[in-house]
Amino acid sequence: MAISPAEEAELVSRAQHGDADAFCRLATQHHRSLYVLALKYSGNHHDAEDLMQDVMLNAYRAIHQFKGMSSFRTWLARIMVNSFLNQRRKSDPLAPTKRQEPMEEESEPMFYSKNSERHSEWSVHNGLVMKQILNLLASVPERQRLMFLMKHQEGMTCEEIADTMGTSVGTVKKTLFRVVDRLRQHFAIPAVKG
Amino acid sequence: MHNCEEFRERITELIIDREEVARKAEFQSELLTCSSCSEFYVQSRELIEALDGIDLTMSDKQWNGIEQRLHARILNVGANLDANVDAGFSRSRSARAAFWPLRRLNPAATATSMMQSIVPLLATAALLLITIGLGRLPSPIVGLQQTAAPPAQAVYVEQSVPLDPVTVGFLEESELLLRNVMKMAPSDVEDLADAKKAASEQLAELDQRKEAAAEVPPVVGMMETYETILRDLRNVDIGSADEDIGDIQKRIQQNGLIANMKAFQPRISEVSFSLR
Repeated sequence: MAISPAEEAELVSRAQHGDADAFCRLATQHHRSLYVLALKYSGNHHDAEDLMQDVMLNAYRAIHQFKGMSSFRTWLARIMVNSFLNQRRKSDPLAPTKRQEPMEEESEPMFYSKNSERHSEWSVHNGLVMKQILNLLASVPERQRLMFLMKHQEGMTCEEIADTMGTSVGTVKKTLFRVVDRLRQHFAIPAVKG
Repeated sequence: MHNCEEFRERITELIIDREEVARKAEFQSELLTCSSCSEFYVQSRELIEALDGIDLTMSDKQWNGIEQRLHARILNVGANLDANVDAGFSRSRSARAAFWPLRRLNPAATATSMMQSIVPLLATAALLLITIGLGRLPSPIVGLQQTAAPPAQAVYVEQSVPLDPVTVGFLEESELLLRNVMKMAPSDVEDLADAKKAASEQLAELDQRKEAAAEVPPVVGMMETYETILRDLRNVDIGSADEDIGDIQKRIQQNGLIANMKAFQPRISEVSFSLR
């Protein structure tokens, strides 16, 4: 359930006084959209959950630094950028070969197209499209991918993205163009049989 | 003069924002005169439409699980911070004040806060006297109802988990192994052999770790689930690896094992952000 700005301010204040439950309520307001973004960013559920948790925990640890100059969501977006881009894989012998590959079928998130039956031909068709898009997204450099998702998924303006990522609006616009250009060159809608 | 790259940069933001670029007079002429840009526009729009069509289908149960694990980690971090500060291990009072600046002592307000701290003490003393007095009254024989125990919360960690460093290290290794298994293709014989070897090693150590974590029943419960995964992993047959690995991966996911392994690893780290 959405909360009003006044309620949000109250929860922030309580969280700043060390009330973990209040922060949990704040987290509940944002964790779904953050999870979906992380899922599109990482391409699999486990990494998405890790990323989302890291963002929230970092936000919790830094909540006393939140001055209310921007909305909590905007502030959270900055933490998200830091968390996503600073995320370091633990030493993992399989990491160099496995982690950089596009999403594997076994750990593929369950994506379906809107307004379609799961088991219909369209579902299969759209599933292929989704898989293709997510694989393509995984091939985009992290920073560029994040900028694109902030625009597409979060609906942030180029100015907001530039502010959040500490870069210029021009760079954001150029990056968006490069990502879309790259994606569309490799994107092809599979033909539907019959 | 039409410049393809410049024009495409200009329209990209609008395409992502799902605006009808072709209907805007300022872009129409350029789209009509440059077939390459027109193609870029059509293809990019198709791409964004396809991306918009992605609908994450997750059940409420899955969302609840994600939410619970998140809350558990937040509460765990909060408890760890408090525990460490209170015990004076790694953070001094000033460090605590830095973490919770609103709790920082203000010298100007010292007198007021002293008064404020005396009042609760007096109130506590009064309550104690009343309690002792009531305790001496004869108890009624009937009519006393046992307060029902609150239902167990489905939260994995509610406070600082008293695990020894070896067990924490074991959980970390287990988490890595599970992650590798989730990423493993059944056809990758080398990965499978590595995973089977790691599973055998973990199994050999598991009983000892369960014993060490005996005071934390949720961790023991999680290790028991993990044990079944390890046994099945160790016994995976190359011939039926496809099916076996798929089943193991499904069970890891259903039990939220990776997230739970992580949740039980207490971590405190300083973070700094360039906040504006």
